[in-house]
Amino acid sequence: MKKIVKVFVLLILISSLAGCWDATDLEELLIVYGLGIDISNDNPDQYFFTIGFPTIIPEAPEKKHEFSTEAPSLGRAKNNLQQKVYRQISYDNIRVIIFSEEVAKQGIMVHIDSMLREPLFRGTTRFAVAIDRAVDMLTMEPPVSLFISTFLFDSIEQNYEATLVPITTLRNFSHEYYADGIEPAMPFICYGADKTELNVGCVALFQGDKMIEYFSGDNSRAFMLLRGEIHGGIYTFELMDGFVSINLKGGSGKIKTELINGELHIYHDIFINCVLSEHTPKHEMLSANSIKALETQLEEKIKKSLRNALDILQNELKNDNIGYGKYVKANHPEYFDGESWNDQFAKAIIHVNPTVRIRALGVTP
Amino acid sequence: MYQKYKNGEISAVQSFIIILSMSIGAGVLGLARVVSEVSQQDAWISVFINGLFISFIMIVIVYTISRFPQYNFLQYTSYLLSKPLGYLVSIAYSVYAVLVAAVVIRFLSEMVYTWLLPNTPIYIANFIIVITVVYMNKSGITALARFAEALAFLLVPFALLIFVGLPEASFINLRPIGGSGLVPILKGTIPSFFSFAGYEALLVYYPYVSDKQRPIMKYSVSALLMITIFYTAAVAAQIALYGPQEIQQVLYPSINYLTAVDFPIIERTEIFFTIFWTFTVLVTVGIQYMAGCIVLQNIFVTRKTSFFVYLLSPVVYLLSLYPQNTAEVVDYGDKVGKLNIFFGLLLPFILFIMYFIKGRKNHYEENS
Repeated sequence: MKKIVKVFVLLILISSLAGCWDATDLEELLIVYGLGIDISNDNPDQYFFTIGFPTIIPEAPEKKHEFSTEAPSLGRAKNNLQQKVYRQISYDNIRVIIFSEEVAKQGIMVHIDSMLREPLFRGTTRFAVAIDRAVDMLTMEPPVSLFISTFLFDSIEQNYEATLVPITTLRNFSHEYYADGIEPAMPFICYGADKTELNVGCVALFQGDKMIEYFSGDNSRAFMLLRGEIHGGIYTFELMDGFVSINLKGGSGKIKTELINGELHIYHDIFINCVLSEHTPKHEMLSANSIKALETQLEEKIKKSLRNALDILQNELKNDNIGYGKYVKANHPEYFDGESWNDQFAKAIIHVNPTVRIRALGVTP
Repeated sequence: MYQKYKNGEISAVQSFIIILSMSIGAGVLGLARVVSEVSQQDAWISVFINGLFISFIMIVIVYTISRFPQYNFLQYTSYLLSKPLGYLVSIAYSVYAVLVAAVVIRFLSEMVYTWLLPNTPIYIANFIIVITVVYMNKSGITALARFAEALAFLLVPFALLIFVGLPEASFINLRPIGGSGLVPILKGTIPSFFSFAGYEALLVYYPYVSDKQRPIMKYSVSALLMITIFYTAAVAAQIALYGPQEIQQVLYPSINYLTAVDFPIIERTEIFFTIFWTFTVLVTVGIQYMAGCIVLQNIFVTRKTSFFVYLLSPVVYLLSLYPQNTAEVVDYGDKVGKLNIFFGLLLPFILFIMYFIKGRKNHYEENS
């Protein structure tokens, strides 16, 4: 009897080996790499969703393909898109999501709910705003990469390392959206000389989930310095009737806050390490005094640039994308008002003080 | 008379592991969210205070039951509280243990359904879990303790996963420290209390410890202090990442925490976590289920616990299927967790007080 029971139990256990009979192989999945969200041209109440994916099958005429659909929400769009393809669509490996400027200005939280709710949707999926339509960007042929989504993903990384744009993922957008004392920001992608050239060097500024402005050029680098996201990249200045370039080598920021006579003072020290990579004015630099003088000049220039970015944020936009509010909340909880922090930020007196340290001069004196 | 070790025995070290495995379970998943709902950025302080308080309760538990080394749960509760109350408490404990086992099984299957097997019906997942739990328990307490001992090593990588999200975390989110105020911090200890539930199983397991000459008090309190440090660090790390506002939007911050960064080699850190967590929770369920069976064995004086292990399995299975959706699972979890106020808080103190009123004199008389 015991043997019969054992054989029976064994048979039941063996049946579990067939548990994968209906598993979906990777080749049977349509793995989405990039998602673009636009306002529909035909129907402005609807959105236009585009997915880009590799075709995987060796015999396929193209190595990648895109599908688009019009829908009121991402959930509906997923359903519509599934009807257009013969493979099961997987959104779990999306590398980058592009919002058109128009969508970003309307608010993007309505699309993000579906992403946050889906357990396998990557928290590290990168966000960016496109100056034009996202569908155009997702269907373009990148000059040096097979997939535009991979190209954008890597470009964001490179420009982040060059201290030009932040990396904004699903997870940290959600954090900056919900947390008091900081407003979200993300890379803003423009076209270069023509529509075959992309420029990932601008920063889209958000208030809540709505884009309100973007920074470009020196302002976007100043924004990164203010955020303490100092990595690398070449920073060029016009000085002494010539050009001076420094190669950033990391740095840090230190924020202190103080209430003086009911006024909020924010002291922001920024430490920048760099090496000299270009110095066209003909000066001998191999002396402590020359380096000190150059550092002082660079500090003044950088301070002006930081001040300019801060003026836009404080006076024009009244929007704290830097995150000073988190420090004020931590240091002066009795003063900090989460609901009207942006107004408090606009009135705050910010003392920004960059310190430049030239660590090396290159191999010429 | 109580027949010593008829149901097997465990070592003092195994009792330490049982407490450790028992308390780290389903509670860790939403701990940071539920506590920070009350004490905001100071949730980690609430968890820490609660851990210290529970360590104190553990001292009370071990002190009281170590005075009755020859008595099982039913016998010493009957002795200290009177026979009818002893039976009542024992029956209530076995019901509680079965309910906790059912709720934790359902939490486990919800996780499996959400992250690992979204196409597998819950009733299949629950069935497999119940079969595993029955298999773990059918050979008695010794086999269960060895299983817990073997899986205790999984707690190490489980604990190390706390560090995964740290590169993205910002400690400014934890400030102002103490800023939420003393009252919210103390109120925050209430939801965190339920996350530690399970330590009270020592009330049932202690009589089966074979080497009681070992410092069981030290082992038990160290187990709880280790859990306290782990929970405090986990909650602090999660709040440093999310901040007290965003964390309210995340149902299971302990798992979502791991999705914050791309981790080298391991593509899906959260699934890696879920695998460790699954085994940890299986041990939790097994220990709680066994505690219920042991108490029933105490009541009905059967030769082995395996009779109850088999008998209760359909009950636990059906109870685990009762909640209709995730919201109901969380709701039932809260309700069952509240029963822990009696078994984990009131009962140890009542027994302790009764020992001084009634037991101490008798005990000394017996020994003299």
